[in-house]
Formats: sequence, C-alpha cells, structure tokens
Amino acid sequence: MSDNVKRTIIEEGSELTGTLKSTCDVVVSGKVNGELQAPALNVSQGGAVHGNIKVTNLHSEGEIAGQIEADKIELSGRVNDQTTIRANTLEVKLSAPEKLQVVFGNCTLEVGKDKDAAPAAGGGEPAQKENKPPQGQPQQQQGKKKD
Amino acid sequence: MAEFSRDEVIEKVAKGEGLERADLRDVDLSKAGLESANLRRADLEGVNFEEAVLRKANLASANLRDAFLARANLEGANLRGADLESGNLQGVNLTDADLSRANLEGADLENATLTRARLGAAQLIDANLGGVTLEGAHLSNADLSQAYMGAAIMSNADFQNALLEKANLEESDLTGANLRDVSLRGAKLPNVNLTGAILERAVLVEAMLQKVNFSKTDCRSASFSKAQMAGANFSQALLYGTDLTVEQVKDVTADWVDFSKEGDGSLKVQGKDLVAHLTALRDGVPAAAPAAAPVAAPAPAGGANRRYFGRGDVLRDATLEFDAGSIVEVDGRFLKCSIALGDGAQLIIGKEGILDGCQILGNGIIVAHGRFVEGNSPGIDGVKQLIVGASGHVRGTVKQPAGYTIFAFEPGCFLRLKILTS
Repeated sequence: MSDNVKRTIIEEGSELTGTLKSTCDVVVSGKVNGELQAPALNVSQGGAVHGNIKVTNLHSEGEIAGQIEADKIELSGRVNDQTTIRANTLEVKLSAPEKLQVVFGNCTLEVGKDKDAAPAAGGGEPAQKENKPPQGQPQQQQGKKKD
Repeated sequence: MAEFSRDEVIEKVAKGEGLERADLRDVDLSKAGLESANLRRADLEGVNFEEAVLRKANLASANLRDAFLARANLEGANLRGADLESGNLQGVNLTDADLSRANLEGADLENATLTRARLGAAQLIDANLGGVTLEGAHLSNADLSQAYMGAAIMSNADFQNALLEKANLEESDLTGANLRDVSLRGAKLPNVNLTGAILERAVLVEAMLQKVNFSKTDCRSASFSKAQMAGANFSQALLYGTDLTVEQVKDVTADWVDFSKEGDGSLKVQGKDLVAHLTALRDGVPAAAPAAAPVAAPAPAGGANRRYFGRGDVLRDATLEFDAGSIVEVDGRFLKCSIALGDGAQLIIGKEGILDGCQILGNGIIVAHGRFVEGNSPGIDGVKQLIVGASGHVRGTVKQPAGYTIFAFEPGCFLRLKILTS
C-alpha cells in the first residue's frame, strides 16, 4: 500500500465491532470483530481481525480468525482456531530455519485451483465463493469505536 | 647424417615426391616452403623449421623431438601421433591441425594458434601453453597436467575427461568451454573466465579459484572440496549435487544460483541467501526463504544419507522408514504408502513426484514440489516443517506436533488442508 493512497486505519488501542466496508485499503493495528470488506487489508503485528474478511489482497502479520476470502494472501503471525482461509494464492515465507513464521490453530486452507481437476465433471474443485456481501448487511460502517 | 640436404628436401616436396620415413635429423629447413609435404613417420629430431610453411603437411607419427618450429605455419597439418616432446613451437600456427594422440610433453607452445585444432588424448604434461589460442579446439581426454596455460584463449574448447591436475590457467578465457568430467585437482585458476562453461562432475578439489567467473556455468555434481574461491562469481550457476561449504561461499557473489536437479531454474536461491541455504543444509533443515523462490528444496549435503526414487519408479502399499537426517527425493509415484520420517529427515517430493493415498508420520521435513494426497487421516502427522513450492499440490489433514509445524507456502501452490493442533 502506497503512502499516497488514502487508507482506513484502525490504530493500536482502538477496537471496532460490527461491519466495516471500505473502498479504501484498510490497516488494522487495533482490533476488529465482525465483517470487513475492502480492496486490501493489512493486519499489523499486534493487530487482530476476527470475523468475516473479504478482500482482494490480505497481508497479515497479526492475528486473524473466522471466514477469510481473498485473491492473494501473504501471511505471518497467527491464524486462530475455527478459521477457514480461501484464496487463489497464499504465501507464507520461512523467516529463518526453525522459526515459526505463522502459527496455525485448528483451521482449513483452500488455496488455488486444481489444474488437474476435470472441468464441470463433478470431480473438480468447488468454485470460489463470489466476493459479495451477505444479503441484508448494511452498506455503512455500523461499528462502535472505543478509543 | 641426414639422407637429404635442405635443397634436396625442398626440391622433392616441390615435385610432390614423398619423404615418408626419411631421416632428416638436424637439417635446417627454416623458412622452407614445404606445403603439403609428406613427412609421415620421418625422423625430424632437432630439425629447424623456424617460419617454415608446412600447411597441410603430413607429419603423422613423425619424430619431431627437440625440433624448432617457432612461428612455422602448420595450418591443417596432420600431426597425429607425432612426437613433439620438448619441441619449440612458440607462435606456431596450428589452426585446424590434427594433433590427436601427439606427444607434446614439455613442449613450448607459447602464443601458438591452435584454433579448432584436434588434440584428443594428446600428451601436454608440463607444456607451456601461455597465451595460446585454443578457441573451439578439441582436447577431450588430453593430459595437461602441470601445463602452464596462463592468459590462454580457450573459449568453446572441448576438454571433456581431460586431466588438468596442477595446471596453471590464471587469467585464461574458458567461456563456453566443455569441462565435463575434467580433473582440475590442485589447479590454479585465479581470474579465469568460465562464463557459460560446462563443469558437470568436474573435480576442482584443492583448486585455487579466486575471482573465477562461474556465471551461467553448469557445475552440477562438481567437487569443490578444499578449493579456495574468494571473490568468485557464481551468478546463475547450476549447483545441484556440489559439495560447496558455507565457509567457501562466504566470499563469493551471485545474483542467484539454482539447485534443481534438472538445472531448469526451478530451485533458485538468491545470492544473499546462499550462506543461509548451505548452513541450513549442513544443519539438516531447509534454508530461509530466498526472495525469488521462497521454497527451495535442499541440495545434496555431503555425507547425508540420501535416497532417490526416480521418474518411473512406483511403490505400492509399502511401509518406509527413513533415518534421522536422511534426505529422500521422490520423482516417482508412491501409492498407499506409509512413510515414517526420523528427526529432521527430509522428504522432497519433486515436480514429477506423486504420493497418492499416502501417510507421512514423524518429526521430519516435507518439501512438496509435486503432489501429495492423503490416504488415512491425518495424512501428515507430527511433521516439523511443511514447505510447499509453487508447483506443489497437497490435499489432506496435517496434525501438528506439540511445538507446531513450521509452514511455508509459495504463491501458485494448491492446498486443501485441514490443520489440527495437538
């Protein structure tokens, strides 16, 4: 995310519960509980997002949990229990031998498309879920912010 | 006493008469016109051929010991099996000449031109080849032990299986040369340009390789034990199967190198990560992620207990146990197999490798560039590290040990993973 681009920032010490939909990239250094939709989400070290995340690009060095859908994910930090990650590409780097870059709890990863699967023959991979907000969700931010 | 005088020799050659097996010892034939002369098996010991023209002459099996051939023109001449031991051939033109199996031991060929010359199985022990031009020359199976080849131009020359032990090649140009299976044991190669050369299985043990340019070389399975290589450049070199050590590569440079078996660039390691990569291999764990290729399979480590299952190998319903620290590469197909990995044992599933219906147990390391599909769940149980490359495909349940599994995933990989904590 470039410094010249407008971003929604949830600063360290801030906690937001509810739905956050943004056309700007979002940076979370605090905590978000609920639903988050944005072009890009950056969860900083110490930041946490629990809930439904639907973004194009996700970069997380913090803690994530819930249902996570993205086109591209770069992951470190922590993935909590009961989390499902769906992405076209997922990158987890090795930082150093014997060092944990990311801690996975009990979770599910569905990454990439099976190039060998027969198309539309019933044996292929399930289609990626569309990146649409759930019906009935408000289009505005409804969360309450604690400073 | 020679059979013929200088004038008689020149006259016979002019008439097209042969001088096969003639005794011409110590005759002065300097600057003589002897083009296409037939001197096969002639005794020419000590003859003065200085600046003589011997283009396309037949000197096969001739005795030219101690002959003086400085600046002679022997372009296209036939010197197969000739004895030129200790001869003076400074500045001689041997372009396209055939010196196969010739004896040039101790000969002085300084600044000679040997472009495209054929020197297969020739004896050049202790010869002086300083400043020679050997572009495109054929020297396969030649013996150049202890020869001096400083500043020689040898681009695209073929040295396959040649012996160059303790030879001095300082400042020479071996661009694009074929050095497959050569022995350069104890040789001196400071500042040599080897760009694009093939050094597969070459022996460079105890060689002096300071500031050598190994860019784009194929060094797969070459041996570098005890070689000194400070300042060498290994950019884009293929290093699969080499025995390079951490200490050796500390002072080398490279933008990236490739450790893939096929040399297809699929296992690139950035130069800045090379020390970490070799350190990790030495210690039995994969290295930190290189920038361009976050997931690199380890190269062979000296002394490691290695197993390789090649393309076409099929194992079905087998139970396999691999010891701690061992390295197992699979390019074949394992069906319904149970694999136990000892502490730190590495299982590398190559791009062509398929583990279908399998289960992997134990505190080992899995590097997947190919396909893993579990049989019994959890298909992967207790693994210390799971590394999935861009071409990797892993489908199953991973049960982590108490201290968690270290995961690494490269963009492009396919995952259908259920991850469980212990």
